[in-house]
Amino acid sequence: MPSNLLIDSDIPEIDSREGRSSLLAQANTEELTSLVDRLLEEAELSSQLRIVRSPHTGTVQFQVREPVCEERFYLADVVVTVAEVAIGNHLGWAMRVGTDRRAALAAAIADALFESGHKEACGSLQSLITVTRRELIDQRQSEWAQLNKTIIEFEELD
Amino acid sequence: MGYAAARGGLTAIRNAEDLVRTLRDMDESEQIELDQFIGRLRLLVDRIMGEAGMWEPRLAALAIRQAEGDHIESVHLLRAYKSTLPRIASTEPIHVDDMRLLRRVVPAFREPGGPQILGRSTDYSARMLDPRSGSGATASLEPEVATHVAENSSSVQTNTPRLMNVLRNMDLLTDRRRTDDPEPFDITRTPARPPAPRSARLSSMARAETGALLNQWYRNILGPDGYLHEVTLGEVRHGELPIRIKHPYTNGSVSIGSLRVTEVEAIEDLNGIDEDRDRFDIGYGLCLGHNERKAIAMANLDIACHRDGSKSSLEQSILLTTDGLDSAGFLEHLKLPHYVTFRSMMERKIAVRNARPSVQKGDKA
Repeated sequence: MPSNLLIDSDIPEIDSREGRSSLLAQANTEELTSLVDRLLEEAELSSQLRIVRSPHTGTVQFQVREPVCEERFYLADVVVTVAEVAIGNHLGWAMRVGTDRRAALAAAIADALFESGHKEACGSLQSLITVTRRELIDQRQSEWAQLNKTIIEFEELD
Repeated sequence: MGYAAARGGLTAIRNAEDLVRTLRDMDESEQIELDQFIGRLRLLVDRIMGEAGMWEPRLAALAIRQAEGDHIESVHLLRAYKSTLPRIASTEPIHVDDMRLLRRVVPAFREPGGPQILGRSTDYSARMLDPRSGSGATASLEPEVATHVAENSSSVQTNTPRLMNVLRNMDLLTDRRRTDDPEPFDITRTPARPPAPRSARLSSMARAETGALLNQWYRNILGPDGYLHEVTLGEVRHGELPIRIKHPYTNGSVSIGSLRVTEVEAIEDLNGIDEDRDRFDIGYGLCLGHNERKAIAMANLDIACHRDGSKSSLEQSILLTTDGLDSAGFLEHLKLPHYVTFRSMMERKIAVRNARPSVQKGDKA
């Protein structure tokens, strides 16, 4: 069933690594960076943190599949920032749209913290991505409430 | 064509640049914040991202502010910036059926299946200057509920088939679906030249200058090209597509956000001798942001190119003349010093005149 009007279509779930990465990519920048700063400090994990690939900005080629011939083509490039870290033996990766290196680094650290299974850190991060998910749904619901009022049914004149 | 370089005047050039910066930044009015461009001039930001072939609203806003609103110059700044960035990856192929709709109108069908959503549009309103616009005085947070709309929105959220598929089910559409899935042509690495694969034409038109594409369409349909045909639009959509990347460790799909696009299907009435006259065909347009003029022109030119089959110069014209940076760059270089070339032209004129027999000179006199 086509789902392009469903409110929660493509909203990531929080119970997979990909879903968590998706939500960390879309989390509020200030909340994400301040939480990760706090977690690193409180859990005394800074000494175990290793930057595998420092945050850097680049592009990803956005490819679409069109419906007439079912052909792919490149629509444009999207500016993203990517980072990769390790906490102990646990690797963390993140990519976020835009040029904010600090946010990308924080998201990669959050990913590694999730992988490390650090109880307190995971709990706090879980709360952050749950809120992020809720905000995405709320935003779509509010958008739909406005769009719904513009649905039109034209009448043909005899 | 030969050119000779000029040198000198570095101080004057620096002072001229400084004058631009100073008069722009020290204007008595308030500095315009980037969020204001994104929120209040979204169509300009969208257009510039589309023509730059790059999605990043804040950088587009920055470019507009730096270029004092000159849209071609803004595109130039973004393309120049993009050229400094490494390409990190490609997204997973995103099917346009995954679009989350913000607007959908179907001019060809009154009841196309699924709702027609006007969304954010003034298509049906009179154009009158409103001194209150932008002040907040005209905003209505609680618009009237339109007639015929179900109270429960979920009843219209479940099914939005494409008109194209409705026509397919009625066997009224030629089937051009491919099964070989060729690699798309990358116009940022190799210039597209005719005859080009369709993926190159679509990419070129997606980042073409909007006015150039519109002009190309208008010339094609009403102008000297004489390509008169019936134009009916199927779907006109504006919505969000997810940006999906492969996770480097798990190979699973990660959605890092979304971008907005405009999509158009143009239904073509096939009437050529060698065409399937009891069926329609479809042209396709898709561009970044909300830019319906561009997507409509693109969809019509896509099917026009297909039907033309490289018989005319249409494809060449689209591929070689609709890029805004190419055309504006060539035009603006005319402002640079051409002293040597022009002096040589003058010298040729004088030499030709001096070489004429004196009888002719006398005749003229």
